[in-house]
Amino acid sequence: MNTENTEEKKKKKKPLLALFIAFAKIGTFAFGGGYVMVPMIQKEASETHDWVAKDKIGEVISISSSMPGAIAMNSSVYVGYIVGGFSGALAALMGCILPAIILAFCCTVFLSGFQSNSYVISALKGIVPVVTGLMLAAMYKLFKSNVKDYGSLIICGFSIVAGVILTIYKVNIIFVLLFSALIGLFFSLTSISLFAKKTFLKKEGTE
Amino acid sequence: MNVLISVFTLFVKLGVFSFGGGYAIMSLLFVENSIHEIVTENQLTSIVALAQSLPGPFAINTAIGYGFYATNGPLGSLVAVLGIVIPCLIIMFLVIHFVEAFKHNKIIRGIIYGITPAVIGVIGGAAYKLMDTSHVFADIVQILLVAISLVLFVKTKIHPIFLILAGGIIGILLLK
Repeated sequence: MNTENTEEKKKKKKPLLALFIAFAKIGTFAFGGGYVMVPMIQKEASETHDWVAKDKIGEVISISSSMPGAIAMNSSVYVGYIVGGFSGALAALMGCILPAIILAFCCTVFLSGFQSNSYVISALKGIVPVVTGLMLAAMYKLFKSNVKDYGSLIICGFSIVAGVILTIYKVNIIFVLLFSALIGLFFSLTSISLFAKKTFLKKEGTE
Repeated sequence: MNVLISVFTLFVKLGVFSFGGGYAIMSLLFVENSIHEIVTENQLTSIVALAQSLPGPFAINTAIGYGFYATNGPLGSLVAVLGIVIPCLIIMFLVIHFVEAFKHNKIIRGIIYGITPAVIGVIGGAAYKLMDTSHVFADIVQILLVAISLVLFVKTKIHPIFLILAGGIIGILLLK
């Protein structure tokens, strides 16, 4: 990042409200857990706003996933911090959790049996396929912007197979990340890196 | 007061020791609750069921319900939410600064080089789990919805929120 750019950023007021609103939107519609937020973070943080570069999203999500706790919250804090430092992180996190707090509280106190209401069940039957489609699309987008050499391609292929198998056998998915970190180290630190870091893209240039 | 402290420490534990997201949090919560019995097993099951049908972080939805049942009031919810939020903030700040400070370090670069493509498979596992638990594979309308939202999100600029809303409406109209 050049100095002109950082100076410009310093002059600009931190987009705390925009962060809060973006993550409140994401938090309100993220049915199905943390990874459902990935496509929406891609949309809000690198398509609608110019907060995080497309190829940096993968890094943010993968680091957030490797840490303990809720991935939805971890990635909100990460994106918020990149955009607006400490206060940005707080704004994004508040946006992410506030809708959940309000909804969960209202349902716990006033709407017992919300989850067994027939309309809610039907609506979720339509929502779940849509969010899984979004997640598959997010995988495709991450692949396009992050997988450019043979090493990444191998790790990505391994992780998809391992991710599904571990899910079927109910093994914690963190092992996929742990093992991939080791493969990543192996590919980077040994002479295999000559092969691993070779791109398989024909030309296209730098994206 | 005692209950408040146990609820708080329970959620701090979930925030610090549960790796792997929502489902890891859920299994650790069941284990911890069976030891301390702060809420009954039945209550916990309905708390989790509600949390899964609501949007937003599963940990927050669970914290609200769990805290409420544990203390018969909103104070428990507040304490539980704080318990899950505070470790998240501290850990993430440490990690972000660590990654920033060592971003040229070969080992850190190697780890990030490994986990970045791997998260694609992790998301794949999560998508598979959602489809499997909701029996998406058994219903042609739902399979179509998966395909349509996949294509629309890649090819158009439609905001995912509208796709999710449309999915909800289609669900109410077509999927009884």
